[in-house]
Amino acid sequence: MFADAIALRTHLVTTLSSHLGEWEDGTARIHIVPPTPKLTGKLKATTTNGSELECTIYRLPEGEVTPSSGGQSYADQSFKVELVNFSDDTNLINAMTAVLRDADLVLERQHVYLPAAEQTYEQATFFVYAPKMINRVEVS
Amino acid sequence: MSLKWTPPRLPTKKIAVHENTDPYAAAVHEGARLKIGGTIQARPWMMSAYQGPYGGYDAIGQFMSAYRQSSSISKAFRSTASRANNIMRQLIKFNGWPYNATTKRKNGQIVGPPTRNIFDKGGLARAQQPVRYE
Repeated sequence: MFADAIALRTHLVTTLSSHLGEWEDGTARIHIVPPTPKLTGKLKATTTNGSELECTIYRLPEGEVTPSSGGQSYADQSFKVELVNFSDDTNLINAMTAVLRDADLVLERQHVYLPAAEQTYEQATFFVYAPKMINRVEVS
Repeated sequence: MSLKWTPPRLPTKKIAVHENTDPYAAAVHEGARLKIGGTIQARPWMMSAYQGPYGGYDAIGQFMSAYRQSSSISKAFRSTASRANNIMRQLIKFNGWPYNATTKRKNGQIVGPPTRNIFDKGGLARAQQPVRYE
């Protein structure tokens, strides 16, 4: 399980490395929002795998936090992860397969696939289950 | 001594399917990236009916109350799903969906931040299907 969005990003970089596009500085096109990065995607022709796939992880997990025993709270939460393909190719489909095959990623509910349309890019949204216990913070 | 217990009957159809057939339903529900730049922010009115944060529906409470009244798991299940579908319809007209941009709608209305409904010309509302049981 992933303690925070940073841990999930680290894992996804490995899972999706061969499918993701790149930023102008050559790093994988995956980021946590907010804040939205100022970098722009590298043009397809200059990347090694020709991909324009971008991965966005939402920093704030969705879900409910309920009180538990011993002053702890149980956070039944999921991280929303979006894959957007800015190009008309198979990179998103391949990346989706990689996510679905990854045993470390437990999906809270069925993913949503949005094919490219007249106004919108091809996109897939995953909800990665990451529940955790939160310890009480003593305030003196 | 003997103990006789008749367990409640389970419904034959155990899945309630909520469906919206509008072509833009997925883009509004999950959000999308626009080709002209910018983003459609997610306003998950269907998921929110069950899981919140909007709608204020207590699905477990509804199920318990319906089961107490009918003593039928099947009726309680259908009552819970049917009520959720009504909440979904209400959430389409709900004015509190956060959105951080100004939009000129097809109905001519100009809606701006911070919140709005997702009704516009009523396409989503009309495309919200009755619950289907499988």
